[in-house]
Amino acid sequence: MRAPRLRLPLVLLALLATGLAVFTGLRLAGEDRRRVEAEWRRLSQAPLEGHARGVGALLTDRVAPLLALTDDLPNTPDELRARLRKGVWFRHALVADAEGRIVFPPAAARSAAETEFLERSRPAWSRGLTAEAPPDADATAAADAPARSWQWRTWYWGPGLHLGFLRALPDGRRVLVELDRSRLLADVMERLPADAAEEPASRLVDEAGRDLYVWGAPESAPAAESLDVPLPAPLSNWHLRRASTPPADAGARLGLWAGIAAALAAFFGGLLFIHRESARTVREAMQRVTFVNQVSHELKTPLTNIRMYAEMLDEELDLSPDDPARRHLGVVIAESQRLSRLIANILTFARSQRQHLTLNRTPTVPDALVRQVVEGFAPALQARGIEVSLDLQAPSPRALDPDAVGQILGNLIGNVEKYASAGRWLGVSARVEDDRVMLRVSDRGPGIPAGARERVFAPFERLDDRLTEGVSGTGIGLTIARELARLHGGDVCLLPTEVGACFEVTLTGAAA
Amino acid sequence: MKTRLALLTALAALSTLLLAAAPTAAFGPLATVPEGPPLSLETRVSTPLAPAGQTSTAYVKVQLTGRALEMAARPPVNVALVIDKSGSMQGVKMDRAKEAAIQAISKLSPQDIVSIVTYDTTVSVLAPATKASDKATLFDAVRRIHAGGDTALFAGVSKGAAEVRKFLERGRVNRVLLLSDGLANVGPSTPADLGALGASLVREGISVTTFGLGLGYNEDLMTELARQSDGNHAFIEDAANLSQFFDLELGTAAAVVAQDVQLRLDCGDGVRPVRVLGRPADIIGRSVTTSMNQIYARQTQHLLLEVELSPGAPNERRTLATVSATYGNLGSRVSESLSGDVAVTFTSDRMAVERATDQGVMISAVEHIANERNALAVSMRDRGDVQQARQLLQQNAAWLDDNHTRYKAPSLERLKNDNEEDAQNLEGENWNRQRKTMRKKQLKLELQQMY
Repeated sequence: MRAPRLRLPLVLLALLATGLAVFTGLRLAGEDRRRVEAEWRRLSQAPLEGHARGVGALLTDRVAPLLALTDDLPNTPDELRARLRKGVWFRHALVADAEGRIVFPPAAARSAAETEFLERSRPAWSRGLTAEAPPDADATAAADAPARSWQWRTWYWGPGLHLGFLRALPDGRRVLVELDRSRLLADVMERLPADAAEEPASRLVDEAGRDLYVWGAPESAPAAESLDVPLPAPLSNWHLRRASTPPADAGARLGLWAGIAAALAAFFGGLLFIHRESARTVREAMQRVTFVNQVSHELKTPLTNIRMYAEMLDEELDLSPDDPARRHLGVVIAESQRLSRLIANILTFARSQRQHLTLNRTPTVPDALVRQVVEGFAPALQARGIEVSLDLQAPSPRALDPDAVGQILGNLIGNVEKYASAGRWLGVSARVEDDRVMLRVSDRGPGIPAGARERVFAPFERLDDRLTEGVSGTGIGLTIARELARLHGGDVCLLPTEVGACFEVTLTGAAA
Repeated sequence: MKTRLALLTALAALSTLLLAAAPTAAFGPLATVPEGPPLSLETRVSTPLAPAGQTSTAYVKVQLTGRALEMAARPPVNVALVIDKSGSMQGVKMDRAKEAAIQAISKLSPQDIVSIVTYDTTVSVLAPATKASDKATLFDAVRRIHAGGDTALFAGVSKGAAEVRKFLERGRVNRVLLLSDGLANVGPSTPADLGALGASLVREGISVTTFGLGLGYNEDLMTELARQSDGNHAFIEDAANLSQFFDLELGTAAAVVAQDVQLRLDCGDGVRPVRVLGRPADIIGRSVTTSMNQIYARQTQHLLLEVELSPGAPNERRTLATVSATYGNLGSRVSESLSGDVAVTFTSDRMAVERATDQGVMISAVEHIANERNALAVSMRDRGDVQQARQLLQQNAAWLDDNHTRYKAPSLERLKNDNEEDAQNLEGENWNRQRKTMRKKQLKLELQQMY
């Protein structure tokens, strides 16, 4: 019956393990979710990045014609105007001389549109058209070609961002070609998808977060936009945005719940296993007891006969104490007595298991009973060199079951013989307090660890192998002793002692 | 138009020059031998005799007239139908728009190019630019249109233009036909944004014709887009008339005789260009330039320039301007040019100045000035100055009436009546409709549109 007592710590252990598993599962699931989210973000951001590159390519494609336009700048304003007039995505340009003075469009004769252009592009040239890199210059490209003679320049006017192409000519002149803003927008849109169902709802927003272009499946409900990809420089203030609801969310949560479910399943599985294991242990012990019980019944009668005839022989032969024959006979008697106790214990335990244990109280003198039991042990105790000290102060008869009390004492003294022979001392005392009889069995053996004080009374419980090595026993002696004492309205307790062990038996037995 | 032509012939102008020019540069495979120049150039001045000894003002009118076209010779069109399918189009409007589109497509010939683009919040290219031969597929695409969403007008036009661009070729009439009934509210949506887009498209040879449907569209935006791209504009209040306008537009487009018309005037000494009445033009120093994306058969396009003459001596003859025009001949696909000049002679005889006045030029000038005042009245009304706007329109009507009495021109009488009608509809529920009508008429007169 050890399993039920182990169940609580095991349950606690399983709970702890489950808790740990759930905690770790949560941690792992969180980690996993973050990883999946990052991966998902990377994957779902990829199309947007592709679009952004497409827009970037648009501007890259613009460079060659702009270089061609500015390479051999026409000499007269009219020729330059004629060339600008042919431009589809640019319309206006200004030329500054090496000193930074605007020489085109000429101050002497400007069209209204040219004046307007100079006005709106003022932020781009008012602080000079010198070569210092604007903050939004394409840093990578600049590093690749440090001697590059051109750069993009952005400025804000009216509806928003304007883009210009700034070229430094070998003669020191500088040309700023304005890219038509509306046309730039239209061209950017052309690089972005049109058809609705192909992509999730996406948008191109300007520097102020206003929608410039919207594409993709119509939004059913406005979601938080977590994907944000800026266009390549110089349009890096324009962003492609898209809502992202990671499918990983559901996945990770599912994983988490699956983890917890698995942990719980493991926990209950563990409990079930422990329960079945302990049930099996108990069942096996019961089967063993039942078997031994039946065998014991069969053994009891022949053993009683052996014992009786051996004792008769001892009395009839009347041998001298030194006679080897007498010594041999003593061994036969002691061993048959031990076997009797063993069988009595087994049968008593079996009865106690079936709740069939009853007492048969008769007037019994405790002192006499103690002497009789110790007498029975004398040959065995002598053989192990154990000195016996009796302190008997219960000479009057009491209503006790002598067989039961004898069995209690026999089990206790038998334990001393088996486990505490190293102390070479056995003390047995008896006294009376009101209607209670107190019996004590003490030894000076190795004692019983504090943690095992109660455990020793459990059935089939034996202290560690060190103590029990080479010792036989069923492991039910103390259980039966306590059972029988409790039937007497008393108990068997282990008293704290400095050395060895001291069992006190309390019995309720009125004076008879 | 006929009356005006009659007047023109009646008043023989001082300096008329018509030069059929030699082909200069090829811009496409030579297809057919031209039967004659598709355009004729005529230059006139309001006062062929100018008062001597004083600073005076004169109007120079340069006219380009498209030759009548045989039906067989019509050029192929490359048109994108850009259709607003925002929520407001739902119901009858959408049904009519679909019917009109299907009818328009059915009238295209197999060498024409057509694409169908719809937009609401987003843009869908329902049918990418393709030859109009497999019409069943195109009809299917149109029938699948369902209204709903916002109005991404800028993106719709951009994508429509992108489809036209796929087959962009001089020799075709490249056009975006935009139908919208609402206010642009996704992406760039100011008249200036759309106008700039139109100005860019027309430099490629793509015009945008805008159809405003119902009373909910932004007429400023729609007219500006048409103006800057040299397209047409119509105010179609009743969706039942849509089909008729689609026909009109495609019929007109098929009658283009010259493309990419660049007109340049260089003023002589003692002549200062002050302003161009009507169409957008650049004045740089003493040169004036303007361009037209196309001139239709039997259409007369003109540029009216106000100049200031420095005092001249009696009998002095002064060249006001030399005129040159280049254009693409749609029949022969060859780039051609025309040139001419216009001059005045100074005189001390005030009566002779009065007698010699070119009434046709003066009528044009009056029309354009009245048109500018009409537009000014709209701005006043927009600011809330109803009273002031009404007063201006009434003054305009009175002034037109005076000029009508003087020049006997039916066009001025019509303009007078229009201004009176405008003055009466500046308030209440009439104003929205009236404003759309005014914008439409202003643009038609400004660009001398066919309808």
